Amino acid sequence: MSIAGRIPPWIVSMLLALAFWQVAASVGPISDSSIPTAVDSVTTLVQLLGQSETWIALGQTVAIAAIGFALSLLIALPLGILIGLSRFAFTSTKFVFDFFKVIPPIVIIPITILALGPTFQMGVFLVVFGLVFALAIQTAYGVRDADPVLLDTMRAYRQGIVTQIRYARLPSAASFIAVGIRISATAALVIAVVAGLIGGAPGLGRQLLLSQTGGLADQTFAIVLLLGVLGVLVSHGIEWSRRKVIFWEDR
Amino acid sequence: MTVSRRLLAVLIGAWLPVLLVYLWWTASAESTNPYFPPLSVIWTRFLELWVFDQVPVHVVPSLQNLAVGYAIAVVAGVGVGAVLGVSRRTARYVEPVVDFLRSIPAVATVPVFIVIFGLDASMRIAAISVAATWPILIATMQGVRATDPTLLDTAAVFRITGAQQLWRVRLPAAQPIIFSGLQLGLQIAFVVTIASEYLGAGFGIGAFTLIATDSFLILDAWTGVILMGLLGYAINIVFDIVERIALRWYIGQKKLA
Amino acid sequence: MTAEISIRNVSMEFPTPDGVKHVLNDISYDVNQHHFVSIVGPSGVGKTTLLRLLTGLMKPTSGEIQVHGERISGAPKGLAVVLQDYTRSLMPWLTIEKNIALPLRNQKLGKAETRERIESSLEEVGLSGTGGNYPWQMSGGMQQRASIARALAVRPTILVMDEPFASVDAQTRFDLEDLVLKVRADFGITTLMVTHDIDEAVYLSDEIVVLHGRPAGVRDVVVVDIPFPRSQIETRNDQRFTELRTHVYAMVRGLE
Repeated sequence: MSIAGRIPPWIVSMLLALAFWQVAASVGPISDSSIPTAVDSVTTLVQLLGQSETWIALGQTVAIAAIGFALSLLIALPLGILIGLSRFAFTSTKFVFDFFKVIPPIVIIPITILALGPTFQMGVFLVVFGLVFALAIQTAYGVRDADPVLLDTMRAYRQGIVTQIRYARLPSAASFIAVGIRISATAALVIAVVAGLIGGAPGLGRQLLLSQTGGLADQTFAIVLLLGVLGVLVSHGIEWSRRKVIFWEDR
Repeated sequence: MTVSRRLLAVLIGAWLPVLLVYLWWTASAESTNPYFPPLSVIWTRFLELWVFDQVPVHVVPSLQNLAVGYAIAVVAGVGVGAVLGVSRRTARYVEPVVDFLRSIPAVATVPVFIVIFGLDASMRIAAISVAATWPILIATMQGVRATDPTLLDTAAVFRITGAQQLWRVRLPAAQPIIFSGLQLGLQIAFVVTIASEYLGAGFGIGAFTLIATDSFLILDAWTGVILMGLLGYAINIVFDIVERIALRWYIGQKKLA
Repeated sequence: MTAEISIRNVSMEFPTPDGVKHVLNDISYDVNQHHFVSIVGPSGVGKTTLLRLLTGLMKPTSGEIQVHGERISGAPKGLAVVLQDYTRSLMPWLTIEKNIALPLRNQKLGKAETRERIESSLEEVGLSGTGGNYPWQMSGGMQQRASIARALAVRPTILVMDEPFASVDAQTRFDLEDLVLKVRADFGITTLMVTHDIDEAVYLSDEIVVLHGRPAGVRDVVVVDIPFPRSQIETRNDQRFTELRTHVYAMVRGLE
């Protein structure tokens, strides 16, 4: 087999895509716009990676995402479990949670800017707002999904509510929560970027906004590339850890 | 279910939202905090602006961009996704690029489109349609790939092959999966519609709200946020209804299973 | 009598991780026009493989299959199938009528002709007036009737059935067997059926092909010399029926 045949397809396709970009930016119909070439953008990305500002911004974005994610779990899991335990609580809160679940955090950014300013805390707040409702609903569904036969058996043997939660409700909720965590982790990063780009919270989003408004086309494209790499790493990381725990999830 | 039981279910579902709005209304009534004006005042302003004075200026263009961008995404996503679903060899080379592009947060692509297209409506439509295409494309590809082999065998023996098989068997069979992609795509399209207006537009509901914020027109900003929230919710409801009609066969089948 | 289908020295091998698996070995057999032929054999012997070769879904490793003297590549014209798993062979998003109409699209019939074909085939299988239902709204037996109606509507010269009655209850099974006999009497379609039910094979067939061995070859061809029309009660109590059944059973088990 030739050397070319041994290159993994994803590298080939990435190189082809970059080549296509290079040509489109140089001679194509959109070459009149200020679109930078692939070479310029990648070069700028490499330069950016040599600057501490980039790494600080990256750290801020990841920190906002991680803290928001952790807070969401801290709020949503107990809340979801409590709601899921009672049919009345579940039906009562369903509409409110469903309503806020489908409202993207980007919608409330103007109010959060007014109340919190373009700060780290604002970013964290947006992440929590974006995750907490879906996570709580997901947890509540999981708790409600517990095997009724198992629950009846426990009641028949006069097991207390704690035992029921520990051995019937939580195991049932676990797989639902795992799905919620997987989706939320990616969403947290996206919201952290949006908080910076639209709301001015510190991090890569703000760097991106500054590059674009400052007319730095190379840098704009470079940061977007960086965000893509980050996104791929996160989603592959999640997929990897999912495989690690799949025996647990598939119970 | 009897009428009274249904009524009870509605009451149980409704008391909390009603209570929350009531609490907001009374708690904010005496508010002097400039950022949290009384709900009654916000409501009055909401009616002034959005029933329906400013709707043609700000809401209509937003929804137009959303509709056009989303329509392009549906056609492109289902079309390309179907081809990639059938042709694994092509997919092997295209998938990594798709995987990378969809990993970029949708909102972060807006600056890229501003660089390419400037600030006019074509930028917004391009950003919306590209961002919404990925989930639709991926769902279609996976759905088309996962067609039950028995259905395909049956079709093949009846000489339903090639493009006809894709159109008449694979795509309809993939509808439930495609619809989950369509829903995610619509949510992303809505987010990008607003983001593209935040980042560079003179009109549109997002632009209106952010400009109001920057000008400390706090009442106006509140009405904008509430309107966007209601729109986001309404769009989801409309989608659910369309989905329920289109997937009647699937839902019916599930219920019996 | 002319051969409608000729199986000529067909062998089939599959590559597997544990090496090549040789499933069918040098099978030759002619299916005569208007005949009803059952293929029986122990489970896993390669009955379904043979059927997939006959329908053109797979190509044999060596040898060939001819329909009307022509070597097939892909699904032959004028062939229709009824599969065991009716829940997965009728399209769940189409009503029964539209399921029947789907294979007719390629025949470029007019609207009236299509309508007529749907009505008459539904009538033939006793499902008149149910065409507006979705498959999943009907019982298993009715779904299998609908599959048969879909097959009849294309006016096939060959009908291939893979364990068509294996997933329905016993009473429905008898009803469907009699339906198949009626269809055959009405249209004289050459029919090939794979089954693991020896009683059923004897009851329905003109000839029974017994596959046996690993790789499988044709162990014997049994001519069922019981006159038509047959009936569930009389035929099954016929002494000849019992003899043939015992004979085929012994061969399938490798006792003879």
